[in-house]
Amino acid sequence: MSIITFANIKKTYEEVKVLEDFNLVIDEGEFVVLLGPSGCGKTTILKLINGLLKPDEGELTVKGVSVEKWNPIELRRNMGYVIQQVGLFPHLTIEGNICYTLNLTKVNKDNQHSRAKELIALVGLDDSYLSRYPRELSGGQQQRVGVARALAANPDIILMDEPFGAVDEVTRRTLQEEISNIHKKLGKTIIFVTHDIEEAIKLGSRIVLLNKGRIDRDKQKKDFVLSKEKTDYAENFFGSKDFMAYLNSVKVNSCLEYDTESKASSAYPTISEESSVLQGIQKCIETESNILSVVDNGGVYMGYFIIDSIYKHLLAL
Amino acid sequence: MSFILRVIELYRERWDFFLQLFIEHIYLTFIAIVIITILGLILGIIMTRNKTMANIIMTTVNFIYTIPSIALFGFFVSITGIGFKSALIALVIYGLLPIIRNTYVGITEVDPFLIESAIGMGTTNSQLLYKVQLPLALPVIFAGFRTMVIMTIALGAIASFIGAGGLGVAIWRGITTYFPEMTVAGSLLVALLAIFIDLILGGIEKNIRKKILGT
Repeated sequence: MSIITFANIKKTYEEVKVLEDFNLVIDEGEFVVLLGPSGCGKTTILKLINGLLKPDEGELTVKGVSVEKWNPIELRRNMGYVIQQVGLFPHLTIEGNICYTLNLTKVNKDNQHSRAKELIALVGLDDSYLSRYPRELSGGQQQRVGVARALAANPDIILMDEPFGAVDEVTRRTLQEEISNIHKKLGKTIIFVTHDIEEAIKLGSRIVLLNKGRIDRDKQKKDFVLSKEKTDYAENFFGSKDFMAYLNSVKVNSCLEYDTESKASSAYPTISEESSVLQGIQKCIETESNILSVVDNGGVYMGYFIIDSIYKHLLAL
Repeated sequence: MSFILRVIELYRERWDFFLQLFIEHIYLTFIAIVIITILGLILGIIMTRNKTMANIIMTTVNFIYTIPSIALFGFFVSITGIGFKSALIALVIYGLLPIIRNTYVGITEVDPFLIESAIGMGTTNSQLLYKVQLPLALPVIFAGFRTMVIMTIALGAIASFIGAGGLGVAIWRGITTYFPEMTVAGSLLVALLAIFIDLILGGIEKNIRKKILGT
């Protein structure tokens, strides 16, 4: 079921064409990443969805209704919005920030409080943060609160505009994992804007590469990375970064083989099932072995990771 | 030394006279402050919503501010006559600038990303004002309020020149009857009132800043 559709959308800013004849259909529950360099129109796309900008031409529908027919306030309350600058209100506590949208719609205070507790746990922070102020939190913690706030009113759609652009590398990785888990757990439709290739490949179930307001490439993740016919623009933009990121995002347990030359599993170096395929390849090279024994967290044997057969598994995913 | 003693003696003998002037002074300035605050906030907010209005209001208020206060009082005497009403109007017009300017600056200087994310989350125009812009502008607005209050208390002393009563009466009488103790006694009360109110407002301002800005 499609939840957002762009049909022949045109948008011009001070005579510069930002989007032209833009078509995109987003289905319910998808994690769509809009990827591209700055100025490619990706933020404009988000702002069209929540009505901060209006299309010059074309038809944009959200939940089957044209955005022109939506009351803009109602439309925005139907979607969460997270921006890079976080935008937490300094005069409100963390609880006040998380409950901001609930407050706008005058949800009862007890419900607000229990919702705040629920959400702060969901984004991996302790209850005690609820009574603090944004300035007492680190950048990463602030963005967690930003995500909690976007989820507060339980919207079906979450718009994220480079949400992790301003936090350090390590924090970014944990935040990415958490948003990925939240997507799996809650099944929301997420539209995520970034210029970071690794982030796009790691998070998106579907990736849309943009080039000056046009869609250069729009595919499910695996097809996006592995299919051969790429435009020059895509080749230039990615180099081999998308492929590396892909190998990094696929786990060795999705490449398991059970049949080897009947040697005991203990004869091979072991690797945890949580490791990525890239780590598996690295381990093969380091240990000079083309076969690894994959074990789960308890050290129990699960199967083999065989370097010669990776391609089969990756193509079959 | 004996001069100060004479002033104290004067307070003791004529305390009922000074008390009455003191109350008149507080009454006049209090009403002026209430009107200025309401009017100033409204005008300041209108300015943030409309660029043309902003220019018109700011230019007008700036122009009025350049008129010497005594001339302004004189001007209103010719329109609304001598007494309380003229003094009140002049005090209000004179006190508007700090409130209007600080309301306008405070609101326009709120981080644009905060505004954008607030709007993006479905905040209506009036919710934006009450829940985001005014609270965040409060430290700046309050600083303007404090300036205005002190200015109005001081300026209130001149109001007696057009027959509006207040502590200016003591000052004026002291000057005209060559009675310096009387002049000093009146001025001292105005100064003490201003300093006392300023200390209280300063304390409140500190609390507001701490709550909203954390500094």
